[in-house]
Amino acid sequence: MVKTYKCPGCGADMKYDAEAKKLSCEYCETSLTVDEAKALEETKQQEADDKDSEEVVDETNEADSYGEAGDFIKYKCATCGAELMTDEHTAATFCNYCGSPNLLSERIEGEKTPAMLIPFKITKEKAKEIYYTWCKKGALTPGEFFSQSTLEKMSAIYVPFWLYDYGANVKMRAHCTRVRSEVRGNYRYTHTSHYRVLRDVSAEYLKIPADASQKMPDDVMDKLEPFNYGEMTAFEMPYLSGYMAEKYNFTSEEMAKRVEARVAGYISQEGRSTINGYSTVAVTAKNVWLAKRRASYVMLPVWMLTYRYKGKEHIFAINGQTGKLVGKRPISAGKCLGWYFGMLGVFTLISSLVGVFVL
Amino acid sequence: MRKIKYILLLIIVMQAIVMSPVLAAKVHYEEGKRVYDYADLLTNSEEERLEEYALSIEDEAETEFYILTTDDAEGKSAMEFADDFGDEGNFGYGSSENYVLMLIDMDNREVWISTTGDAIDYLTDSRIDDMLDEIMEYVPDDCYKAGETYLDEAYDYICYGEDDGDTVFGIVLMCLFGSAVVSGIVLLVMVSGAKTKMTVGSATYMGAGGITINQREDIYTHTTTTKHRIESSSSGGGGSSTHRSSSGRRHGGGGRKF
Repeated sequence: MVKTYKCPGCGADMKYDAEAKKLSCEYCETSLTVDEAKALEETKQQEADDKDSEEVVDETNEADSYGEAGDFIKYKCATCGAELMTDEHTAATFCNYCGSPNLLSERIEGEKTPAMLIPFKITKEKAKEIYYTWCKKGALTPGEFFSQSTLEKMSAIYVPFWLYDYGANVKMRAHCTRVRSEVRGNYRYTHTSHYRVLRDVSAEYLKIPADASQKMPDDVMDKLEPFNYGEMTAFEMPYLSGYMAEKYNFTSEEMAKRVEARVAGYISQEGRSTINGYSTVAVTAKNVWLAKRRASYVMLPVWMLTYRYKGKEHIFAINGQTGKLVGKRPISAGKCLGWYFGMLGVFTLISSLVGVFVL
Repeated sequence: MRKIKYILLLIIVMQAIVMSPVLAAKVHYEEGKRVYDYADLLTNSEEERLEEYALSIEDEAETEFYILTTDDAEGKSAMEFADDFGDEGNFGYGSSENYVLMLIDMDNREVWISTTGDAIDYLTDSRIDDMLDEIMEYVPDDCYKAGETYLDEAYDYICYGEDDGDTVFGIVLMCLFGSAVVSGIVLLVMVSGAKTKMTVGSATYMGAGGITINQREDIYTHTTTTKHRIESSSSGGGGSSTHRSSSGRRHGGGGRKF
């Protein structure tokens, strides 16, 4: 079932506006809240179902998504009727022909419906600005990375995440020493007191995120944290209008290992931090116990830009809520040389002048 | 009682008058005299030329330069003789005690260069060694040349400052080398600074309850003791070694036998 939200005023496509926090029509300036849009869509659906329930039901299903070719799925644009292909994990995208938002609702319905979502707060203009200033700060970044055409390639994606709650406990055994020394005559006496230290520490960890999409690099997604969960709302389809969205590739069980490694690291760190006041601490035994309390499926907003430079792929991501940017600025060899010799010249000149005149 | 006081005073004055020729016979200190050639190793005109040279450089160096020769060290070592001579003459530029003295001691057959005040820091051990290398080429056959070399070198070192003598080209070269290293480090920082770091940690996701410590035991088991002999610290290389002369003044210097 392919969905688009049409303006009740003029019939154009409506998109979610991150600033107004509403769905808006760019032509007649009509705006609807997420709930209104959802209600409107439901009535329309009801009417359509009433009208041709008997004849078309099977056909619509077939027409909307028929045939699977490998990992790709064909579907029909709800606005212009063009036949399109997407990979099986895409949940929201745009029609290649008419550009209207296409929401592939069955991909995220039923058990695959996210429980919660954080709506985009960073608009495209803001995202471009953040990226541009960041690139500018890197004196060695090649110029083409912050050209307008590169900035236009930025896309807004709702990335599927699992949020995990864990109970964690660590039992630690450590051999610690305190060292005291004194001087008597020509000798220095070093007294080392030895201690056997035991700790049993537990803590609860809430909403640790792990991205569930195969396409998104894990390390980049981890660095986008933290998200402000206070702004998380219940998931509604209209939020996705005008954005790309992915459905999860990995189940919560599959992603648990990554998160467990993180939690184990955290609780060990906490346990270790309770051992203090010693000259040396050597942890001799450590036992971590974790209990998964809950995992919930949410969608988090991310601005992405992938750029190929000299055969290497560079990925930049901006937290769509906080604006935090993750990425590694590429280095231009030409700029490196320029800076090196520039600095060499300036430093040599200044230090020589100082050297000759002062000495 | 009063008479006795006068007599005592008279005796002291008389004593001083009688003793003075004895002292004077030994050392003829003279204001503005820089060359004391008791061993007569220099001709009169050579003495005058060295005298003039020594006086001409002392204002710029803010240091006095002395040349002393002797064929009777009075049983002292060359170092003691040189130090005592300067101390007794109360040498030193202006109100400072900056002076350098070269002694050609024919008795001990040794050349000694004695330094005091700031000159100690300018004429480091290794520099005195270099000076002696050159001076010893002329001692004892051409003491005039030795004196001239000594004045040349001492003046150069003192007026050049505490750093090693270098030409402008040398300084630029050194700056170039230093700048190459610094630029490299700055560039490395620029290159490595382009990466985003992980900013969340244990505290970010910890529940409101924080950590609970279920068990906390710190059990003392035993104490071990080791002992080490305290080594006296040895001084680092470079710089000037100093000693105290019999008058208690601090001197630097160095010498070489011939």
